Amino acid sequence: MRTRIGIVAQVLLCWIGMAFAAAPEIGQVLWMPAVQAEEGELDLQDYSGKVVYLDFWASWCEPCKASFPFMQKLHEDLAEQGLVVLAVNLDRRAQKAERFLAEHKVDFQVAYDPKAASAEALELQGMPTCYLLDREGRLIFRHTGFREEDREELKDAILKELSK
Amino acid sequence: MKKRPALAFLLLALLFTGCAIKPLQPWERDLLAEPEMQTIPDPMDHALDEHTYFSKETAHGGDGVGGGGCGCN
Repeated sequence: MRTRIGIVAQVLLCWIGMAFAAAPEIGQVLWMPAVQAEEGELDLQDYSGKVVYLDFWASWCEPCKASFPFMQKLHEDLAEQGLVVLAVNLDRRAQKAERFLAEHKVDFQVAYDPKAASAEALELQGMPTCYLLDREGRLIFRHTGFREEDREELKDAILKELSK
Repeated sequence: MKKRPALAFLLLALLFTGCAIKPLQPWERDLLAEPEMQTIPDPMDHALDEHTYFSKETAHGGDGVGGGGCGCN
């Protein structure tokens, strides 16, 4: 009987633990479930040795629209220096993302996570959210939303990381 | 008699499922903007209704947040 109660208690504790799972902290190696890209599944570990600008976006999100030209410029200017821009789409329907991408032509890596498992794992607080990861995959900073005045701050942080 | 704690845990577990109702996540907010989520689903139909009330009853508003339907605001 006691073992049975123990098992039930453990299951309950597990549930509670999952409910309060902490968002990734600065300096921690960022982990998220693999996302789908045109070339196949993408894992953050694939980018070891690169500085990664990881962005979460959706077609309905207005600030995301504003962030796309910024990310394209980052990709054009800094890819050679070792920056990877990875934009994960969270639309439930792929057509919406495709329509958005037809309007906003970009060359950087786009991945899809219609079930938003990655967003859930990272506990996104808003849209868009971007993460900057160092060459070892550790979280340097997280930024929620996108405003014109954020550009400089984001770019400075990226340049600083690339120069290391 | 021995079954009681197990039953209590089962009831508790069932009760906890109520906590599993998750609030809307940031990446799901587009759902709130869907036409069927609006308090006024069809603005044209609503405008016609309003016009009828105003013409027939000199009443205006009162179906939303502001105004009590007195026609004075």
